[in-house]
Amino acid sequence: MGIQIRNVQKRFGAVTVVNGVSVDIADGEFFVMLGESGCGKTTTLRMVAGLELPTSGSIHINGKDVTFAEPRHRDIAMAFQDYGLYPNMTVFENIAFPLKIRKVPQADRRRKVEETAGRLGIADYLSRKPFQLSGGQRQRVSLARALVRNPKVFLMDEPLSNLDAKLRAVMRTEIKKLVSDLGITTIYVTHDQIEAMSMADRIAVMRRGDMVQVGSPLEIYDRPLTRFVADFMGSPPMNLFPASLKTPGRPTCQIQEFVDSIPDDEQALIAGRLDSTGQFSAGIRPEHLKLVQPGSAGSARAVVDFVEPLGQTTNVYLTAGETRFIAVTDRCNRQVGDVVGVYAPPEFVRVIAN
Amino acid sequence: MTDSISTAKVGGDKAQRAGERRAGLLLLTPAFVLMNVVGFFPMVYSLYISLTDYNPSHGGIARFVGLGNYAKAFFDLQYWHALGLTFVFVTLSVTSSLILAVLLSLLFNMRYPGFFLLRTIILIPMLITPIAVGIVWRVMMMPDLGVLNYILTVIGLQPQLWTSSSSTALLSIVLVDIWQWTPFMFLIVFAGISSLPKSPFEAAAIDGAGAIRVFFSITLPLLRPVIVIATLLRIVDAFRTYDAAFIMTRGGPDFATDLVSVYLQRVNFRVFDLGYGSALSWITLVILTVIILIFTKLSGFTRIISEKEGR
Amino acid sequence: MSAHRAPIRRFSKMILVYILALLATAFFAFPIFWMITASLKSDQSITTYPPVWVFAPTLQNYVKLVEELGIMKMFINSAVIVGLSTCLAMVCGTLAAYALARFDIRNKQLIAFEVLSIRMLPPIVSVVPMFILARWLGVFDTYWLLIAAYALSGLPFVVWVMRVFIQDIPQSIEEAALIDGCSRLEAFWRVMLPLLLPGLAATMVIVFMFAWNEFLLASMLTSNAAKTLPVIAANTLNAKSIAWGMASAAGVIMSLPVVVLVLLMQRYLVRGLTLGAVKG
Repeated sequence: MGIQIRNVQKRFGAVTVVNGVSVDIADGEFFVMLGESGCGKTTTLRMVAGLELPTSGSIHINGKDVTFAEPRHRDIAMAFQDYGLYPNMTVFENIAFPLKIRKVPQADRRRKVEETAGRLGIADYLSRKPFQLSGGQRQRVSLARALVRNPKVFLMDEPLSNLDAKLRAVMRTEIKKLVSDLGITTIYVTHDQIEAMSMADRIAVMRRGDMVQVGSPLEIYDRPLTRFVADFMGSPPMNLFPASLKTPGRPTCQIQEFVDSIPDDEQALIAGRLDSTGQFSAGIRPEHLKLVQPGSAGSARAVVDFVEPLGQTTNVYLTAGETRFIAVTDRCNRQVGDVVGVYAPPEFVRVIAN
Repeated sequence: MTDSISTAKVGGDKAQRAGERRAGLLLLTPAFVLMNVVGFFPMVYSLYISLTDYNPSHGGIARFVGLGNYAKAFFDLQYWHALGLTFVFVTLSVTSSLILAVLLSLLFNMRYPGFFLLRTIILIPMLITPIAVGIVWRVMMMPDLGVLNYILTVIGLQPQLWTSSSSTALLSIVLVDIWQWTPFMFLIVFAGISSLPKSPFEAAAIDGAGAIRVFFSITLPLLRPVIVIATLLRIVDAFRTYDAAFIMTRGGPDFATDLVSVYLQRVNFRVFDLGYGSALSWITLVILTVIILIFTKLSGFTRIISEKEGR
Repeated sequence: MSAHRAPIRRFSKMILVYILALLATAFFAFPIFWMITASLKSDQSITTYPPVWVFAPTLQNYVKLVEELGIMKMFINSAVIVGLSTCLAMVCGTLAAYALARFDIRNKQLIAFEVLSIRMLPPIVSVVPMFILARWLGVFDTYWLLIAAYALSGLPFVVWVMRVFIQDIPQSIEEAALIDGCSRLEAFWRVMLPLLLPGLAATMVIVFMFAWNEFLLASMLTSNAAKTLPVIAANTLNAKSIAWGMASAAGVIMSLPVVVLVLLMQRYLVRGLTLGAVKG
């Protein structure tokens, strides 16, 4: 059951947009595809929807091969970035449309529409036209239209990207709650890592048509496989330092102190993540760095470049030699030009492929 | 790089399904058939006719004469006269109606109460059947009984001979053309003016630019795409002007209004010299195409259109 | 001082603007006024000088048009020919526009410009081969010939304008319909078509206008049975004594349908006339 995507490839002429993606999505899972625009996430979603056909590969939904089936035969629902509401129909007619097409009797239709609209808090607007609604309300209508026929699979293509930041945060929790209550298998496409982190059961980070890493949000946050993933997740992003392995068991790094005492199990990963020139990156999240007395054991010497107080935390921009990086600390009163020691707890240092 | 290409692609043609490449072509078929059967095939056929001496009033047997008709056209002074007249006609009519249209647009852009109604009334001439336009102007331009001369006398001007004199006939049909088609230009230029952004004008006001300065360095450049499109369409249509000239003067007096289309009509349907007429048609078509190409080149028309396509 | 004068200056500017606007309107409206009054005058009062402004209106010109020239037949000819050719152009053109707007077709741009080139083709050039071919096929002076010719000349308008209208409808609306359970055809019929109706109507009016007003092809490709209104109106001037009153009445009858239709559909007029290039 669920969705199986096997070796799906999509080419437009000479351009490969999706490059052999394979993934299994479990029943009821909330699966997020995350990446920059043009990475192939939307195309992958549209192939699952049947709006686009794969050049090769197959797609199964609930055990049925739907690779080339028409969208209407896939039992899916979809929410679009620009909502895709029918501008000439009222909210009621919009939500009722899928039922009407499926020839659901009128009385049932009314009941279901009202029920769904009630759940999404748009019951008062049923007689309005889409242009009379705010962005958030429109998105609710599009969700209601998708949910009204109890689909097995729900596909969402950046549904929140046209909303303002505050509304986005509200809708995020609401959508997540709604689909997990209903237990619908969901594929959600976004370029916003916060959305991905907060909503997903599993995230697939995509780049240039490939799924670079698939895993739970914390897995991806804590253990990014590549520089790209490390850089994409978290704000400010992970600090990455060029490193190499010249002698086995003794990695060298721009800031040598950070890699001196990497734990053994992390050390063991290095061999697998070296690039062709024997390089890798040592990564550490800004919030894991500790500012200590200059010269204390295992710490590196750095100069404060710039300080960004954010209220609860403070972003401290640092320079060690030629290398610039960021530490996120609790509120502090460091000044520009201060010389500090920076300590990277070994258990938080990651070995990352370039 | 590849990323941006692929997004553009995805944005453009999303709705492709199995076999839908064929569906797309299938949808194009009716238009394609219409275009080729009624449009291009007769044109190709006309190219063939132009190489013969076909004339149905001479028994209708077509003898192949090679490029003879084209050679004959080269020395046909009457044709070149007609072409020259058409140039003068198109230039005078299009320029004046463009200038008038811009002035009218500026005037009506003041948007005083009642202007909507006046604007609607001004539209009407372009909707009147050109034959009817010819009729009414011919009535009005009668030298001894016409209302135009009456009005001229009343306001103290010399009455004119209008289409009855070879010196004023061309100007008279230019006037009629301006009357009928300035509304077309006005409609388009006005739409352009109304949709101009406000900020450049506010910036100019802050910079202290005067009204004339603003017009030449902001309004006109911003209106350029709209003006180019309107002018191109007008040139194409002015070049084929036939109806009003046919009704009012039939090319006379003394061939003073013998526009290309009037002359071609005479060759083809008075003398039925269809082979020769076809050759002239093709020469005219080539000249018109060259004019359009020069215009599009000079005005940046293709760039304007492709910018619109790319949005 | 200047604060005192400003309202006066603004007022006199307004007066000036109104005078100019009214003069301009008068220039464009007067011939139309003259045509309408001429159609209501008796032949004597048309040819009196100085022109009479006040007269007893008579419908005798219209009556003569119907009784002596049988203008009803031409009216029906015009209506049938223009109606059918408009429908033909609309159907062929809209299908093509949909294909060009939504499908991935090779050389799309080229096809679009090929269609546009028809707009550039002067009728005086295409009329000769059409004349010869029509005689040869035996369709000379029939409805079919003019229907085909007018459908062709309407085609570029429909293809280019409808393409813009279709592109203006977000793709996602159509896709939502596909997801909601429509087939491609149902999605077009139930979702796209209602949204395209205003555009279709506007385009139709423009195609109708150009065909209805067309004279050159109509006069060369008909001799009797398929004559349209402009041809018969031109013929009123061919007679030995020129019937100004009847000619003006014919002008009014011809122009009325177009004026009414276009003024009703004014909203999309600019877009239609510029083949979608300028938004109104």
